[in-house]
Amino acid sequence: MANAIFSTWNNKVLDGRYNGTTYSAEEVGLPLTYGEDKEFKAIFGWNGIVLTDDSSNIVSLAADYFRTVALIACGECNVGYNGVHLIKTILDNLVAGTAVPADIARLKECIEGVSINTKCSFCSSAVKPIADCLRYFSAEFEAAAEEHAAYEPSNGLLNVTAPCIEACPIHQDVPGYIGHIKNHNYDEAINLIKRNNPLPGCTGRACMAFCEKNCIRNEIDAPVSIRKLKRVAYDFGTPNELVVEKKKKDEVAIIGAGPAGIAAAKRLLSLGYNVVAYDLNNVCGGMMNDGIPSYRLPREIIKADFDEMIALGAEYRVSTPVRDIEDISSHYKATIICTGAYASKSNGIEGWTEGENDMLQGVRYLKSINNKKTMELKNSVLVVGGGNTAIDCARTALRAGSRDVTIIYRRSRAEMPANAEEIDEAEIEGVKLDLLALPVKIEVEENGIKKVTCQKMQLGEPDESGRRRPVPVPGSEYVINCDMILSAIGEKPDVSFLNNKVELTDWGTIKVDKNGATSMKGVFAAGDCVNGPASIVEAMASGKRAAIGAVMYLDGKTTVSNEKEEVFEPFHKEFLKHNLDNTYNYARERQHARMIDRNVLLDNFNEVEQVLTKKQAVQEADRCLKCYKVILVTRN
Amino acid sequence: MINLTIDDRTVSVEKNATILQAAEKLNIKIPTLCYNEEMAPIGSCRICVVEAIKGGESLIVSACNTGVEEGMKVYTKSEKAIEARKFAVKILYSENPSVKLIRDLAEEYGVVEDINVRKSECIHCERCVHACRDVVGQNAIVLTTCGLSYGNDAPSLKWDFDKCIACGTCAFVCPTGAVKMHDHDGVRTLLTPESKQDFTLKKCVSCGSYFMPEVQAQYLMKKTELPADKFDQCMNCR
Repeated sequence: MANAIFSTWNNKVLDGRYNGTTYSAEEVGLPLTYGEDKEFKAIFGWNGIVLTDDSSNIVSLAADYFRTVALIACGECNVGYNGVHLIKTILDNLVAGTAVPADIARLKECIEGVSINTKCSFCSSAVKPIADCLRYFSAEFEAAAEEHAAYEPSNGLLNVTAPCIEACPIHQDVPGYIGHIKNHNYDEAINLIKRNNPLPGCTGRACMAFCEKNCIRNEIDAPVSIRKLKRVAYDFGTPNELVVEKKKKDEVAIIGAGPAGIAAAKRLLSLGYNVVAYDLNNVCGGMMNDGIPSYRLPREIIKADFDEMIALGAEYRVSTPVRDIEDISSHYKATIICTGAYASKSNGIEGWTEGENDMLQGVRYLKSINNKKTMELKNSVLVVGGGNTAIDCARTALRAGSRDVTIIYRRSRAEMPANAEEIDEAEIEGVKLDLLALPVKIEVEENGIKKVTCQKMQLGEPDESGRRRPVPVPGSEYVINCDMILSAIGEKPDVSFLNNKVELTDWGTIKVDKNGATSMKGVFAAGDCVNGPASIVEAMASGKRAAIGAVMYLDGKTTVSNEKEEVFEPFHKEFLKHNLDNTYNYARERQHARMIDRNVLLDNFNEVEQVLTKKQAVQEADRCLKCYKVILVTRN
Repeated sequence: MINLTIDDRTVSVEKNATILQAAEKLNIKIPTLCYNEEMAPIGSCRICVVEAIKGGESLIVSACNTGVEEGMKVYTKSEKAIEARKFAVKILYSENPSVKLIRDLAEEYGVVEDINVRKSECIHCERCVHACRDVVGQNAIVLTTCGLSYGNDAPSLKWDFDKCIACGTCAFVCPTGAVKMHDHDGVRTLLTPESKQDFTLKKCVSCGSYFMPEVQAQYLMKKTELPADKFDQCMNCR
């Protein structure tokens, strides 16, 4: 195990350089190893310096680190941009051997000035390790100013990230494209988004936006509307046409044309593999098409994203159900299963008759309506569940003509897994919420009306998920009448086509290793069929990983080719943290998109949320605090 | 109302007031550059910084865009505040020594050193950007900032002359004179830090004097849906 001889990480100074003391990773508060016990030599980042031996040249580390900082300094404030560039020049002169002793005092002055007085917190936090250098390594810096000798570069590995980038499963460069939007450069914004996102249109409209949940502005006022800004880039920008090098390598099969499938397809195409994708539906999109109503995600947006993959050379065989996994896997060297989570969990309500008497799984209901199958109109609809599927069912029912729609959920509003904005939207549209209540029994009357006995609940101790467990209130039963009941309490993968040939987990999902490989040779899996029902963006991340796993398998490699990912993986938690230093705490209102008129809203499935205007987009982009974190590591 | 002290004097202000507004109430002068009371604060010049003590912690904050808090103690002339402000002035002075306003500030704060002389008068304070966007509503000016792989070596101001209506608000709000506008021989010339643009002026059909840029008349015509002949005469002849 590597130990540190010196650390200033997170303002905790540990200095064993002169007395031989060493400090463990726990004492430092930062991992000192990566991968399978490979050691870091020096860590030089936004939050301090950590050294595991005394052989590092601290001046080179500082100059190499700061060159990247200077590239990010945006120029929106006087002190940040100009101060950072003065510091960079001095550090460059120090390693080039062209500095003079007076530069050290000047460096000190610049660092002090920048560290306390910048508009956002990027520059002020980025100078921290340089300030530590001058404090604890002044002899080395003074020597560099006097010796006039050029120093060897540190040859370190650099990473630039931010709390939002880390929270995003596919690591979109959020401050990067927001900066482009602020510069009115929509084309570059969408190009940057598309670099690692094969569904720019869909995620601009229907993403869980984990980035917004970890936006530093949550601590000041409200998060930056990152998802809506992505839509701005998509709607207003014209991206460069994607091109891939066609190498005519092996063909890889993908089962399922959803988000995981498209992400896997894009990664495979970009690596020169041919892709054949199978889907039982007659259109591409998977759950985006079947589960997300068109008022939230118009069908032409899904189509456009998939058309791009087809233009890149992917072959989509739609309306082709796979009955047995070996029908496919035996014909291809590698197969990736991306079949999603389409089967519904049983709801345990007494008297439930699935598919009969107007009792239906929510996903089946959505699929029917979204694929324009006509359904008999029901006036009063009861939706069981509190997730996005429940909300989608309720809002869809309103648009289908139902006038009395209620969502019944066993916990309180704060515990609802659905997106808070979606819940608000549903309520504005007239959906009623019956919270802290659980349906336990259904009786069907002769006229078709369902009498649903419900039980009032109260919140008890937190369960494994961290949410407070609902506990029945004795003697609180009451009855609701309705014409239709939709069950939307969660989905699980439909694995019937695997015919027990592939190992599953205890939760009924497909078991995979860290590269996405299943128990069957050459067969990989990704997305909801592995993770259980999750989100578009998580499915994409998983699809990408499985594609890399498949490529490694085809190339006969055993180690992950992405060195950078392996090296910086231990720092993930540290990257996610908010380092709000209070240099800037001015609240500015989050911009809201225009919604179509509520009066005409419910007659149709037209898109509800409109794109932010260009002016709003610039104002919103202006709220981004660019919490970039730069880190440089060297290894033994 | 929120109670705080500034330079040890007590003041009570509205909940959403800024430190700068509270100081104005006490007639305490804090130097500003990018701040314009008609617009939302920008916070780019870093001249108006003060020392604020909240919860026992001393912070340097910009007075123009930091909200007041109950019990906050603000010092506008403490050593820490003056040092921070002096550095901001020094940086400005080294980059834009030709601007009189900045030379005056430099003199006031005893800054003498010229680190890096640059010709431009533009300090990238974004006043014009915000004025065009939030006051005029045209959003025609952009401060192109830097970033990883943005391909810009330095921040620069760009005018979108398809959107510009030659109203001159940018020149009016510019604190350093980096944006200039003047009318001559039936032409309005807008000089920006990096470009020069001429706009044809409309001639009054009655008195023959030039009174409004063509683009502005077009813009107003569209906005007000009035017929073209309503824009033929100057204000005096109408």
